[in-house]
Parts: sequence; C-alpha cells; structure tokens
Amino acid sequence: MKVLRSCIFLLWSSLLCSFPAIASDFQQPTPEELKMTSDPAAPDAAAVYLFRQEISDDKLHMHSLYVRIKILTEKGKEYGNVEIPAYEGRTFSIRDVKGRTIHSDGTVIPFTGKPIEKLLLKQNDQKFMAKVFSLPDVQVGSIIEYEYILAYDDHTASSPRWLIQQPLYVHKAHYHFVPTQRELTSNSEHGHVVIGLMYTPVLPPGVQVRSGMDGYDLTIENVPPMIDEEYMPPMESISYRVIFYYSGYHSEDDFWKQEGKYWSKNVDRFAQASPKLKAAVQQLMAPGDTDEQKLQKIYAAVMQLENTSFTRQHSAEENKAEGLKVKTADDIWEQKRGNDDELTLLFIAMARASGMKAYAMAVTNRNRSLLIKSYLDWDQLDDEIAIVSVNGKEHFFDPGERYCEFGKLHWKHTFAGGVRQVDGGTDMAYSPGSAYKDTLVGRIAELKMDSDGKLQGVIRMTYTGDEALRWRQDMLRSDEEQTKKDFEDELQKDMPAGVVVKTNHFIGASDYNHALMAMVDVSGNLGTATGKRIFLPGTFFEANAKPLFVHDKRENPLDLRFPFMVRDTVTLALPAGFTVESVPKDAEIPLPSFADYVAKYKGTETTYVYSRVVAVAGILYQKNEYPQIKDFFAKANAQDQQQAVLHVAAATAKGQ
Amino acid sequence: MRARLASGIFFLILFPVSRGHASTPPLADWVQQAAATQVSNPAGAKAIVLLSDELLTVQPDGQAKLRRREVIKLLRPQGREYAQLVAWSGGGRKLLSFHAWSIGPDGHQYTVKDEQIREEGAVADGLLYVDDRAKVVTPPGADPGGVVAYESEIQLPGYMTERSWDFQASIPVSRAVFEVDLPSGWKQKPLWHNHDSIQPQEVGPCHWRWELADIPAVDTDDVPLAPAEIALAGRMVVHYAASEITQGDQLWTNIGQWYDGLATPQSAATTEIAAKAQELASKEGDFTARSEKIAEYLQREIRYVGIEIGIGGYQPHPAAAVFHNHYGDCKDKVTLLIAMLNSIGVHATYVLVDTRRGFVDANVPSIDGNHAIAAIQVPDGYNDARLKTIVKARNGDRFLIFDPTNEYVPLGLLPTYLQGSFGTLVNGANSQVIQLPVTPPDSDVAERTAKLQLDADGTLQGSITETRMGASSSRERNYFAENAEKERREYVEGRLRQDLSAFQLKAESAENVQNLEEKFVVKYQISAPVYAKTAGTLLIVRPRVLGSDAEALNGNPRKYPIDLRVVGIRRDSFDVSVPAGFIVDELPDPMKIDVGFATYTSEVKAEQNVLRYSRELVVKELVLKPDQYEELKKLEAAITTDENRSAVLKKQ
Repeated sequence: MKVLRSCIFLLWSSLLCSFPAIASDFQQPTPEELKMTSDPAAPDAAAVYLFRQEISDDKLHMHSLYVRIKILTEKGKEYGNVEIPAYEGRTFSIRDVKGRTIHSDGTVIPFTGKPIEKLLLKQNDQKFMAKVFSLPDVQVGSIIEYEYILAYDDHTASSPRWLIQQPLYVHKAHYHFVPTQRELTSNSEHGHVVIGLMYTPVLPPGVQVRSGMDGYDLTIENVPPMIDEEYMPPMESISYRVIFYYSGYHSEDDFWKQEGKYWSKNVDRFAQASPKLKAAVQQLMAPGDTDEQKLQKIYAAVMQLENTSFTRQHSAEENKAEGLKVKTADDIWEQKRGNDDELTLLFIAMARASGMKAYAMAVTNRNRSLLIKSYLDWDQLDDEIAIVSVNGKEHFFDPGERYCEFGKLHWKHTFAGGVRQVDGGTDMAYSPGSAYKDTLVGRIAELKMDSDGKLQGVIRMTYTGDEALRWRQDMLRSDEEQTKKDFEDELQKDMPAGVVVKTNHFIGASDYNHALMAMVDVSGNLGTATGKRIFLPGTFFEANAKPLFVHDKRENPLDLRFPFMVRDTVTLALPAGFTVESVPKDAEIPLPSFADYVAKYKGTETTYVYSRVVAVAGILYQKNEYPQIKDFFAKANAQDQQQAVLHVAAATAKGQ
Repeated sequence: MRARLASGIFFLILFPVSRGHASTPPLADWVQQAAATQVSNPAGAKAIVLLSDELLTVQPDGQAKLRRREVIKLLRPQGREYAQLVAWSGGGRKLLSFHAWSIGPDGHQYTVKDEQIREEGAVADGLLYVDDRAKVVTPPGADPGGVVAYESEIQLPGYMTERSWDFQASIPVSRAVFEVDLPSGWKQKPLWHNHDSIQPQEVGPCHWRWELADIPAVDTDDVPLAPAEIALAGRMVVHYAASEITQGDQLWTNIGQWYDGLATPQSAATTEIAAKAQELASKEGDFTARSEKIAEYLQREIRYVGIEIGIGGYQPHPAAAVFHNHYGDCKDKVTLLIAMLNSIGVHATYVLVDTRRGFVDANVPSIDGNHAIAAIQVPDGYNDARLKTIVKARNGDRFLIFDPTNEYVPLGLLPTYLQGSFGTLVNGANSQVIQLPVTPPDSDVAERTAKLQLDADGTLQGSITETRMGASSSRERNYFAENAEKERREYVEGRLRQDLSAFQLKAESAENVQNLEEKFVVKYQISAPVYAKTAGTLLIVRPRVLGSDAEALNGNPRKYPIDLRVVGIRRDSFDVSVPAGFIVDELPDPMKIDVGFATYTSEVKAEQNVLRYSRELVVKELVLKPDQYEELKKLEAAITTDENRSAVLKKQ
C-alpha cells in the first residue's frame, strides 16, 4: 500500500556534460595537527575528523567526499580501511580516488594502490556496488586523507543526504550542494513534476543551512559523535543531518494532504465493504450483537487467518500457482492469508461492511524511527493500524499484529506519529500510548524444600499485553517447542543458583482474549548453608537478576518501550526442623508518577512467603532524568538481593 | 571458504530475498526420488537433508569440476533458514551452473528461473575484501513439509589435488553420496575425520562412490564448553593424483612443500626490510631479545588488513608490499616476519593452522585451515624459560611457535584458541604436522585482590586490583588498548553488575596494557551500598565479593568433548573489614575438590576483625573427554556453591 519512491529522478532532456577531474588539493597539516596526541574536545577518542567536506553538484552530476582524520589510538587505525558506501552500479560510478597518510613527523605516504570494486548485490537490472581500499602505513598519530567522486549519468539527478553527526567527533565540516535547474519528473507512482528542492534539517541550535545563488551551504564545527546506548530512541531520528530532495510539493501541508489522499484512496480501494465481505460479516454476527461484539467477532475472524508477516510472504507467482490473487480485502478473506497491512485493511473493510466507521492509520514504527513531519517522504511510515468508531468513540486496533489483544496496539505502534484517515480526507496524528495495566505479568510460585535443600514446585506465569504478544508471536515465528525452550532459558537466567526450571506447557497460546499462561516445573537446590543456618534468596524470580542500568554517564534519552506491571507471589514450604529466623524488611521504592516497587515478606513456622509488585508507568525520559531512573532500578535490584535466613535444628542440619 | 588462511568468517549481506517463479519444467528425477524418501523426523530437527550428492570429476590435465546436489526437507517453521540455497564462486573457483527447485507442502512443484537468482558478494569478518561471490535463492513453498533442492557445478582451482566431503551438518542427513571420477590410471586416497572409514564402490573405471545414511546432526546450541561444530563434524578428505599418493607423514610433507613453493618466494627481504630488521634487533641481544623486537614490530606496526583475490586465499602478498603498506593478513604478517628474521640470520617459516581447535586432524593430512602463524627456529643449545611454545620437529630442530596476528600474546606464548591444535609446519622436505603446545597452568594466571571495608549499614567500599599474565590476558589487553576511557569504565561497570546491585565505580586505571612482558593490571575503587544484607541483628555477607569462575553447565547427556578454553590458574583474595560493633558469628566451611584435570580450594577465615576469603582454581587440561562431564559438573557445582555462600556477622 506504500507509494514507491526513489531518490533517483530522471531528467526530461538529456544533456551531455563533460566531467571535470578534481585536482588533488589535500590540505597541508598544521604543526599542531601533526603533534596532536589526544584531543581535548573528544577525550580518549580513537580518531577525530579534522575536516570533512561533501560537495554535491547536480549540474555536473557528481558528489565528492574529502576527509581528514587524525588517528589517536590503536583502534583508530581501523579508519585506514575505507569502504565507499553502496551505490547503484549501472547509474553511478566511483572515480578519482586519492588518498595519503601523513605521519606525525610530516612524512607523506601516498596511496598508490587501486581501489577494489566489490559486488554487494546483483539481480536482474539492479547492481549495488561498493569500493574498498586501505591507506598505507597508518600509525597512531597519523593523519589520513582521502577523496573520491561519485559520478552519475546525465539523465539522473541525485540530491544529497548530509549525515552531519558521525561516529567520530568532527572539528569542522563543510557541505555544499548545487541543485539542478532542469525540469525533473519523479519516477514515483504518481509521476509528479518536480517543482522545487526541499530539505529537512536536524541541526544543533543556531546552525543553519545557507542558501544562495551558488546553492546550499553549511559549515559546522565541533560536532559531537553519535553514541550508541541501550534503551535509546532510534538513533536515525535524533542525529544531526540535512536531507535534500526534489519534490513535487510546495509545502509540508500540501505533501501530507496530497500523498495522504493517494494513500487513502488505495486504502479505500483495497478495504472496500464488498458484498462478499458483507455476507461474510453477516454470517459472523448474531442478532442483537452490539457494535463492540460485532467488532470482536470480526477481529477474531481476522486473527484466525495466516499472517504471512510471521510465517512467509508468498510471491505473486506462488499465489498464481495456487489460483490466488491479491487485489482487495476480498482476496485476503478468500485465501485466508495476508501480510500485516493486508489483514489490517481486511479488518477495516469488514468493520465497514458491518456498518461501522473504520479508518486506517499509517504509522512510523517507534522501534525503528520517529516521524519527522517536515521531511516529505512517505517511506517514513512503516505499518498500518486500524481506528474504529464504536458508540461515537474511536478505538485503535492492531489486527496486523497477530494475537495482539482486542483494543491494544503493539508497543512499536504506540506513541507513533503518522497519517490517518478522517471523514473526507487525512490528518497527521499520533497513536495512543499504553498504560502499565495493559501489560501485566503475574508470577506465582508454589515451592517445597526438603531438608537437603532440594526444591520442587511449580510456577504459574500469566502475561497480558506486550509481554503476552512477544511470546505468542515467538511461537508463530518458530514453534511451541522452541518457544518453551526460549522461555525457560530467559527465566533461568534470573533464577537462584542451583534452581532449574523447565517449561511444562503454555495455556492460551493463540487465545489473545485471555492471559497467556505458562506452567513451569521447578527442581534443583535452593539456598546455601552454614553450620546452623540456611540462607535463601529473598526473592525467587529475581534472585540472580542484574540491575537494569549501571553506567554513570548517559548521553541519550531513554525509551523503556512499554509500561508494565509485574506481580510476584512466592510460597516456599519448609521442611520439618527448619524455622524462619529472619526475613527481609518490607520495602517500598517509589519513583513518583513514573514507577513503584513494593515488596512484603513473611515467615511462618512452616513457610516463607513474599509478594512483590513492580509497576513502571513512564517509559520516555530525558537524559537528565537518567540518574533517578538508574537509582530506582538499582534500589529495586538491591532489594531483590536481600536474603531470608532459616534456622536449622541441630538434628536436621545437613551439609549442602 | 575453509581453505582460506585469514581467520575470516564469511556471511552474506541480508538483502531482501527474491522469490522463485512457478514454472512448467518438471523437477529433476533425483529431486523427486529424494523428496519421496520416507524419513522419521529426528527429535528437534528444524530440517533434514534428504540427499547430499557430490560428484568430483577430474580431467587428465588435473582440472576438476564438482557437481553438487542437495535436497532438503523443512520440518519446523524455523527450518526455513535452510531454504536459502547458495552456490559459491571466487577464490579460483568458477560457478558453471546453478539450478534450484522446490515442492510446496501441498505438493506443488516449482522450478526457479535464472532471473530469480541473485548474486551477492561475500562479507568476510575481518577481511577488507575477498572475491567470493554467491548465487542465492529461496525457492517458493519453503514451509514446513516443503522440499527445496539445487544443483550446482563448480570448476575448482587447477592447483587443488584434494577435496573435502563434509557429509555431516547442523541438521541430520538422510543420505550422503560422494563420487570421484578420475582419469584412467589416477589414484585416490580417502582420509576420515570423526568417522570410521568406509570402503567405496568402484562403480566404473577409476570412478569410486562412497555412501552414508542417517547421519545425525552436529548441534552444539545447548552444549556448554563445546568445541567448534566444524571440528566435531565428520568429513572425508580425498586426495587424488596421477601418480601414487603418499600416506601419513609423507603426505603432510608434500602439502608443506607445496605451500613452501607458493609462499616462501614471497618472503624475500628487500634492502629496506633487512635494514629495518637490523635496526630493530641489535646484534648484542640474544635469540629471544632479537626475535622479540621483530615480533613486536609485526604485532604493533603492521595493521591487520585482509585482501584476498584468487589464489590470494593461500598465497601471501610479497613481504615488500606488506612492509610498504604496513598492513596485511595473517599470512602476510608471517611473510614479513620471516623476511625480517631471515635478515638477521634467524630461520623462520609458516605453520598452517585453524582457529577452531580440533579441526585440523593429524591423521587427515590436508591443506584445509583458516589461519597462518610462524615457526621460528631456535638455535641449538639455546634455552630461555620464557619461551613456552617450543616444539621439536622430527629432525630434531626446535621451533618457537608464534602468532604475529594476535597483537596481545607475546613471543613465547600462544593464543589460547590455538593451543593443542595441529598444524602444518612448512619447512621444505622437512615439512610435517605438529601439535601446537599447551602452555602450563602457571603461565596463565589471573588474580583478584581486594581490601574492603564493610559499614554497619551494609555498604562495602575499598580498592580492587586485578592482574593477568599469560595468553588469556590478551582479550582484556586488547579491549583496554583499543577502547576509550568511557568504554573501559563501562567494561568494568558491566562486570561489577554481575555481582553488585548498586555501586559506584570510583577511580579506575590500567597498567601495562601493551607491555606484554609485564602483568596486565586493572585497579579500581568501589562503593556498594547495601552489599551486606541486614537480617535482624545479623549482617549477611558474601565473602566472594566479585568475579565468577563458574561455568553454567546443564544436565543433558554429554556426547561431545569438553573444551575448557584455557589452562591456567585463577586466584582471589578478598579482605573485608568487619564493621565496629559486629563479630563473626558463622563462616562457610573450607572447600577443596580435586577432579584430576582441575583443583579448586576455597576458605574464609576471620582474623582480628577481617574476613579473609581466598580461593584458587587450577585448570590443568585443555580438552576433556565426554565421560569427564560428570566430574566437571561436580567441580562446577562446588564452585557455584562456594560463590554464593554467606558469612554471618552479629551485632554485639
């Protein structure tokens, strides 16, 4: 259902253009650059860009890159290996590759080798290539320099993407772009005439692209490197860059409105409430069904179909061999299988067929990227979800995510920007988020320990929301046997030393209306002994868990993906002669408005019992909030590592 | 790929998979026959190879072609990964043809058209460029119950006179066939690894056929301390020649001589190389000192960059080019090392090895391997206790084995992943197979010491020093040498996370990161709130404050050997001062276990107001037999128990 786009635009008229060779004009290093052994601006950096320049000239059909990198550590030497990024090999070519290495004493070693052309992919008329070379005698302290030209044919225009933020600190960078003045037509589905050049900047405050008669220009200094961290939002959306593109639109509003119109038309064409679907819906319904009941039945019917996004996409040829075609939701219903978007549209079509107002929404998946409205590219949008009005109130559904609960969304589709259908057109919109009550994990263990410390018992685990969806979809991608193993492997990691868990079976693996339940058998040994005492982990499920965050410093915001709540209840029956000497103190660890942790422990003559609740309601945090988030999880983990102490009557104590 | 000497792991870039078109041509008979095979689904198998059939045809001029047919049935959804069919070329191989078919679970038959097959360049881990390419396709119908099949024909490099039949795979094989069709009068010599030899049928003049059935999978997914699957898998290497084929040691010699002729001319030293060697290795130094200087130069100054084209998978670049560029792959580094050592009058040569211990089999002479290291001849009568990796050749010559590719294992030691392996000593007419040394436990020692203060509220704080000496320190040295302060700090934090809930890492520093002759030292200070747990009037303390020597084993029956990865000694010594007002109420009992291949001792003492925890693990053997698994479990259970025991402090 996506509008196909490409960054390659065909010129209406061809113009043979001679290609100027770029004379090698490497900069002379300064004495300070030669002597440099570390960089105060980027302490401990493996290497830094002293200078980086990208010149793109669509009149001359070329892009050029020139870089100067100072190597500061052993690891930095790897920047001496250069791979020129992938390019389409029939339209584009790499020329005039030059390079050199300059030692800290000023000795210059020119690159005299030949870059090697490397095939990445070739199929039919597509060929993607890269070029590689390695600069000579790269040492710690060296400055390496190289430049090359990416040339393309006279029928092609190619606008640049300036990826300003790099893995290395950039002292200074210069970017320049001269767009073509020729009339262009896009090879997109709608063949719009290009009426102007657009660009989307994501830049630090105060930095701007200058435009003038000579084109577009940007000089920027002191650009920090990209830092990869766990639980960070998609890097692609937060790094500095400027993306140029020729566009058939004057403005953002025009683009999203018109492209939305095309998309919406396709949606409506596909998701039409056909007589066949009306008949199908009719068969599903019972007299007196409310709209919500109707919708539940439709949702259940769609959920029963094979979702090929979790199994295997069938080719058109394969469908043809089976006498199948995919043109509308009718075909999906008929063949009983479709991909995620097709099933979403089928759900919309069936909701419409039952007389309800139903709309599609195309969203940017939050696990991949964040929508930038000012970037006029429909390919930002990944998946489609459904919106249905029930009793005058809109509800969001995710029927393309097989086994997603009725009325919930996969977390990647929550808080997601996108475009939705509305009556008479489309609008930019955000999908709703989820609450901690939407994802509940219940863990109940009933355990019995004998006087040798041997443990037996069962665990009943229940999951709803995103956690249930994760395991159910794991079973779709592989099978139940594999998921049982994956499940117990994950559980085992946090178990107390000596305890062994084995998944017995799942209940409700495909029943998304109810919680997914896992029954787990427990065996092994629990606790460690001294002469007169046995020490038990205060908690069972988290006994070996590690704190979520340990690093002192944080450079990026946090994204914990989805809110959740975990409730544990553990009962351990003790052997005769064992008494509870002490249990951990009850604890509450609040993180106001965002999270809470409560644990209660109790020892009786025959049992040790504890209950524990962790609720995380807030998932998106700025980096300055990191210390308190880290502190919350560290305190919770420390509480989970508390111990209960059993006293052993002399006659029953045995070594363990 | 296995035959390339560059430690590279090859994989394909994951481009979107194209789908095959349904087509009218019927499936080949052999596909239909294999697909009709009734097989029981072996427990847990994702897929099964119904037929693996290879035919090696050699022409009188020695040119050889390999026709390969394979039919695979998918058994489980995750078996779809085996439906991606691949035929390789490059490295002197030429792909002559590639055809693929499939049968869907519904019985529908598909023939893949040429235009649905894509071509991808190989991405080799660690290599800048390798000329391997693959034709790749995933045919339609690749669902559980479906069958996929392909046939490829490859022209093999003209210089090859052996072929490995890899009949055992990560999924079970129902039937495997290998045929060799030689010119009249030619000979063949099969050699078997991890499988009893079987007699071939001579199905035609100079045409032999081997066949195996019901070959179980080699699957180490859930096997702790497993050797590499490729080392465990059965294979047959067949040598072929127009004349009589030598056996055993002589065949190893022939292989060594072939490589000698290919590589040794590349190690000619230029004037510049000789001058550099002489500059580095002063004449006053002894053998070790002079060799060390050149070894360090190769380790420090020559960057690892792999570029392999054609026979470049075997043949190194000339020493002059390596010296000029200051880069090269493993065999290039050895080549320059040889050139430099020769320039100062020290004889050195190549040793062809494999980084997957157990793959090279002393009883299966073969050129197969993925790495090259060096053998440096030790002068008669010369001895130096620091040189732990000397092997004696059959002719009495002694060679010091050294890997210049690993930048953090010094001359005299050998990376742990190579120890105990076999390799080809390339030494002209004296070429032979050798076993690489396993260094003694006391040459690989890691120690942690800590002086810590426990407060009454359970906070633990103090300083910790970790020292490492020996080949296994190379991993940490490498990490600390190549990463910035932030990463180094996060590395230490990541390890502390295994044992502490909340902590602050204070000053952290490393010493002798690149000084391989000295102990690698990491020092840091920590403060860990609520380390000791309060229980009424008790404080419960885990004396083993940090670090684990335990391996996670499982209760599954063991059928594969156990690779302990390193022979060495691990020691911990942690002193924890008891807070004022508390006395030691209970301590764990001392622990001592000796299982022959390893010993473990541990004790906690209370001296004055200090808890002193000390332990020592000595691993004496590198590879154990499967039946030693139970003993290993006992050892690991003891270590795990010890690591989790507590001492009890009581408030006075």
